[in-house]
Amino acid sequence: MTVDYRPSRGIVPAAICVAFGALWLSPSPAHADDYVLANSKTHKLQVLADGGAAWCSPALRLRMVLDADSPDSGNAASQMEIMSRLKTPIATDCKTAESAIVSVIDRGKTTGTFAATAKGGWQFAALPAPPTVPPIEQKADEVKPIVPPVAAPAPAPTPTPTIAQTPAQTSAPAAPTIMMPKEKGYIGLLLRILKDNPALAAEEATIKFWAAYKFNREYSQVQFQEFKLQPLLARAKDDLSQTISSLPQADYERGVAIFNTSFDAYNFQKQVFPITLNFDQVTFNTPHYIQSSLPSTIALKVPDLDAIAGIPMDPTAAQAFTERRTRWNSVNRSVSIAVVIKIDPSGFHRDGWGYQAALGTVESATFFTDNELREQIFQIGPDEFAKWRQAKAEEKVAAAAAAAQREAELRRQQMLAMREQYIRQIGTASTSVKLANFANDGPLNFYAPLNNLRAARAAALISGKPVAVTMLVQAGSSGRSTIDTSFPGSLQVTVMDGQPDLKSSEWYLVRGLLSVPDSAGTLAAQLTTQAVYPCQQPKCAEAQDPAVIVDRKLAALQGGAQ
Amino acid sequence: MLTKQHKIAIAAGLVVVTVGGGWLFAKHQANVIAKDQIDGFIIRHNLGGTVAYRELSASPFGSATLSDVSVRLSPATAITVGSLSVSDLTMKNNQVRGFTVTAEQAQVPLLALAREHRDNSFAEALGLGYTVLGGNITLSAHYDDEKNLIAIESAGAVDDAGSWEAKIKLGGVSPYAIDSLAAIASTPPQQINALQALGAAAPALQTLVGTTVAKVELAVNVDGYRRRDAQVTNHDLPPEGPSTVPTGMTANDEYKLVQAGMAPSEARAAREAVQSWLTKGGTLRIATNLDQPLPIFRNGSIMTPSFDSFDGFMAATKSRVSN
Repeated sequence: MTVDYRPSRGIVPAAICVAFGALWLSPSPAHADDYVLANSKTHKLQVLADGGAAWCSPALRLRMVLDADSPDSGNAASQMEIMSRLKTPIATDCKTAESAIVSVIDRGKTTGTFAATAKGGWQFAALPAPPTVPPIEQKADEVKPIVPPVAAPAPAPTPTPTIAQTPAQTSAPAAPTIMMPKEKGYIGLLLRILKDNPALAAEEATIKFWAAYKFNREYSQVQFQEFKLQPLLARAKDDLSQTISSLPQADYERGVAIFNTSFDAYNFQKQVFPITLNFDQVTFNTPHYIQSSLPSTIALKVPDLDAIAGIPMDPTAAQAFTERRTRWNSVNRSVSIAVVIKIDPSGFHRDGWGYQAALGTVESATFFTDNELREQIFQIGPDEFAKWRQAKAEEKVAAAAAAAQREAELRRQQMLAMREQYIRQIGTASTSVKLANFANDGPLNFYAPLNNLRAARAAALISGKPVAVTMLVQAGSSGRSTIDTSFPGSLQVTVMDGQPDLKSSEWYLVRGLLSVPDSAGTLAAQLTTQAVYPCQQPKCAEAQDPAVIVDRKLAALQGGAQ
Repeated sequence: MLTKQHKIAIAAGLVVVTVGGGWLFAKHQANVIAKDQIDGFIIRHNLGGTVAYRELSASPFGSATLSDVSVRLSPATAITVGSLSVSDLTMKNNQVRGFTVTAEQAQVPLLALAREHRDNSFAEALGLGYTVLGGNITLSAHYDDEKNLIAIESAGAVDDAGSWEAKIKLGGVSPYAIDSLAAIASTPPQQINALQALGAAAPALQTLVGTTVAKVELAVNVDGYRRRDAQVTNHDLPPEGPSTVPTGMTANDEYKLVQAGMAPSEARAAREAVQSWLTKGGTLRIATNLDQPLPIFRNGSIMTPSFDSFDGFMAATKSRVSN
């Protein structure tokens, strides 16, 4: 193998020449800012370092650029071997180097990433390729926040991608398609309000605000000179109208919040730089206060911000990432996050002088190393948030079920401990209360009797909808649908599937929904059952036994706890 | 040459035309006057947004009828009256001395009111299906200045609930008391000064000391209500044993009537009538049986009434209870 190790300036030390065999000097095809660390005609590749003459740094950023006909194309093992042979020039020419990341670029595409450290003897090893969808570890009682894995740090700051471009990172997962509204923060939301309220948009004070925002210097100069102000206001009016009409509908459905925050110390167990967004409402302040009907603040209530919980990286990449951000032994932990929030269709509603906070959900989050949103680290896309939300919803259901189970078991234990006392207590209750307790789920209630037809009719009429009742009925005929009752009378019962047929003259304890038609003078009422207990004795005498009632409750709790 | 018959016929025709035209003219004038009075009353009492009617018909003899009257209780609910008439209006010194008001096809939307106010006050009636109370009612009051006698009568019926009739005659009512009441009644509420009203009412109350009961007749029928009461139970459990009949008057109540001065036979008859009314339905009537008007107050003070209970009233007025 012949690899040409060639500093951009100076003479190649003889020892190095020997070590690398046939060496030659050649003009570098690389960019002027690149430092050519090695050049091999045999292997048809170059190894370049970012930073030109100042390439040496504690965390080196290298690129192995293969020619189209390189024999090492697609051979990661030989690529790593070539890199490992460069340990001497790296160690010799850059004594401060502690780690290096090399991206293999084959036919213009990044095909692999290797990393090595000085402590490890500059033995390069491949970093795993990042999955395109972040794994969400699902536990029964926990939904992990979204932390898309990043296997390597972001590229050097030389390229300065913008949000709108959302370029694919050389080492980050393929960026999802993210909708990023043009106008961000307060202005973006204000445009939404103005679009919904043309009268407000046409107010002179609003036009003044827009002039102050859009033509700030001119406005400051002429704001107290009415003859010069008028043409500016006319221009601002046209500009506002043009802005409102030109924004796509998708922009109006979203808001963008920029959070300048910092990440915490690396969590080696979870392999993530944790970030905490411990709030659920984002308030945007007006950039220019002009006395007007415009709100001074606009707020979005975003309950799922906690999904954004960190910057995941493997340890090697994380180390390189922090070292790159270390100056004077201090790690710059600042990051900016541009969060796109989908606004609920109900939008904003007036509340006195301002607007109520509109409901929103996080659609995407893009992380940047700088406040100007130039150097992007990675993104979390809508799919990831959707999966997170679904997992969270499932977690809620599971948690509620588990809580109900725990509650049932706790109640059962308590009830079991007080069984004798409860039996004595319910024994002193009225027959109606006893039967109601027998028929109803839930804890013992010493004050709730069965419902009577007249009061239930009134409640259903006043509320305008069916009301839940528990009643003792005697069937007037047999069947399942609209069965007349002998008691209480003026009531027809319909039993639902899975419940027993009613038999004429038999008694039943039923729970269900009672409805009454509105029409004047109608005495009919309908009861659709949710639970039916066929009484063994007339008027359900057996269900009045206090011990039976308490034991039935215990059995129900036992079932609920399982 | 006109015959005598022809002359008579022509004369009769002229009389008919003149009287008919006069009647129409008088009726038109009566409508104008009545409309002025009613609209003026509505405006003075700030009832413009509350009370409305579709049509007014008045007769030259002092009666007026309003059609399709509505008394709006809220934007969504109103009491409606198909026909509201005022008749037998008598005046003296520009003060009302007598009137009869009749409301027919009146409807009170109980369910709408309960829903609007989330009010359970009507729960009992609603439970029995009285979502709209419909019926008729008549109220009349006439005062005889010479005899100091006031006669108040009321009758009415509520659809599928019951009916009532009440006739009350009171003697010894001074014109001063009537004038005071009439003055207060005719003053728009916003112009009533509480202190002045109290000052006017106090002497009027003093004049009530001489008031006597001349005659009271009451008749109540609640068959409709009773029928619904039986159809829609308000019991959550079936009654134990045979169906029990509510006891209207106990033996003790009968004894109290006797103690209050009623003849034992009358007291027994009253108890039987009440029991029959409760069990069989029909009408319960209570009528006083006085030879002489009975002073309501004794010793010239309103602090010492002649009876302090219903039993005492029944005994003192020798009332008879029948079906």
